[in-house]
Amino acid sequence: MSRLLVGALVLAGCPGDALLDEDVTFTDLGSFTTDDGGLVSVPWEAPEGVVSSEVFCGPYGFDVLATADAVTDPAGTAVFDDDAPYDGGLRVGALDDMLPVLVPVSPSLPASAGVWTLSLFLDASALPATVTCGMVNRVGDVAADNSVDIAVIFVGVDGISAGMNATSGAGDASVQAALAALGDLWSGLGVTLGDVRYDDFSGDVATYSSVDGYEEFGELLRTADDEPELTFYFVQDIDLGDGASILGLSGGPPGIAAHGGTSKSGVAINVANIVASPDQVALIMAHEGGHFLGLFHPTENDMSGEDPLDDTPVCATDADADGTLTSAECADAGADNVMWPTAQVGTATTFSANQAWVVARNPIAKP
Amino acid sequence: MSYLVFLTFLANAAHADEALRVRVIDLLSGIETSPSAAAWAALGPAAAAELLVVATDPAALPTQRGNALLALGNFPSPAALALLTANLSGPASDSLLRRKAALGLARGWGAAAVPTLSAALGDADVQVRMSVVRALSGIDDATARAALQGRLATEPDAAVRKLLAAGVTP
Repeated sequence: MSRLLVGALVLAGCPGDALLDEDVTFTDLGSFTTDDGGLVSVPWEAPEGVVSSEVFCGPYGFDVLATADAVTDPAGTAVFDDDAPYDGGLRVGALDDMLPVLVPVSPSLPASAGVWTLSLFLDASALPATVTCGMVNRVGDVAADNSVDIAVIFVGVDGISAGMNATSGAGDASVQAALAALGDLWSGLGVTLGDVRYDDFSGDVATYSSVDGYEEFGELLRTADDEPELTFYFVQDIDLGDGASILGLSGGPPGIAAHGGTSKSGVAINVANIVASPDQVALIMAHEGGHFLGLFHPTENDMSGEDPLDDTPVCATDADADGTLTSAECADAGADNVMWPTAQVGTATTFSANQAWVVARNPIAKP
Repeated sequence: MSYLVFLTFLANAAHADEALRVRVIDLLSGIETSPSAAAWAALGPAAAAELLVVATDPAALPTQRGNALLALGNFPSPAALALLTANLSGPASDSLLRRKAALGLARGWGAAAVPTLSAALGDADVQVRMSVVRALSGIDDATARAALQGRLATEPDAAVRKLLAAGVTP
């Protein structure tokens, strides 16, 4: 059956669906109200021929966290349990404002047709609370080689390089060097850059050019367009509240794919270093873009957990026993992977076969 | 024999310096996380010398230099104070370094940094002014609040005014 026909059948079955691409649909699932304990069951249906399926619920505000108490597959099997979040083939974060759950994030738990159930837990003081939920489903073919369309949104960064705006970005040497290096890194995932769209941020540049905290980060991502693309916001600085610059941040992970307007609909990249080191900015784009597309750190550097993939190295060598893994300590156990939490330019250059498998199935990857 | 012991001592010291340098650069280069005060304290006072080197190294990446300036606030010294003050006030210093210097001054010197920070409330760069306002807002001191209140009347940018208004509220 052709991909177009499968897409048409999905649409015919769900008149409220929006067709985002020939194989990708968004469905508004409506409102859900928790019980007094913050729990609510959210069923979502993956269609026949499903490649990937993502459900998401919110917004519930930036001062509230939510996670999945449990997720069950169409057979009724529990595939995620909050009591053991690093077991099995699914990962669900504890996130502010909007909670996405993406299947698959591991070959050990592929997407399958039928009704999945998210048992959402909202850690709010005012309960019961109501959220709205939606889902994005992808059907059709899967290939080893894919393209990903991207949007580059310049948020008041023309003080770093004069050409960093929508008019000149396509000709700016630093921007183009970073995108070329991103293409090189993502070739290890079987991903090539598809359409590249440039735009200038149309909101409050003074506030969002230097992202200060998760709330500003989420508000910035809410401006992402409703397109099957990965939106990179280029900003002057990202500071999570302690004053220090960090280099990038992804909605989620995973991000909410092919659906704009949420606090998990894109990625912010600190481009303060782009003139001195476009390769570093490319690495951060590859890493944060990887998160958005469903990849996690092979090992968290505080040793709190691992990704669900069995071909990425696990590092357990905290040589100085300080509770934090460094790139040097894990030189032979994951630090060469782009998704390593302290990835370094020139050292972190690889992706695993299973990481490529996951990205190939993301709703915005195009065979 | 004593000469060999001396050489071994020197080699071990160099190795320790290199390990410290690598660790400092690692802490200054977090992708999604930043180091806690405890992480800097664990490295001991020798880390301050490495931070001074990075903060003044024009070949270091801008975010590493900026984060080094901020982290010097964890190791207050006359040399660190002079460097942060020069970066905040120096016309040649770029926006990122001025911003991190402001936050480092507040972190390390608190109320004693209020005169220097207050003078920077009129910086031409909006992002610098926002960082200076955040720095002053984090200092529990009447002169800091008075400086914020004074700027509120003349600040032209709406985003900075919003921060100023939050900063003067007890």
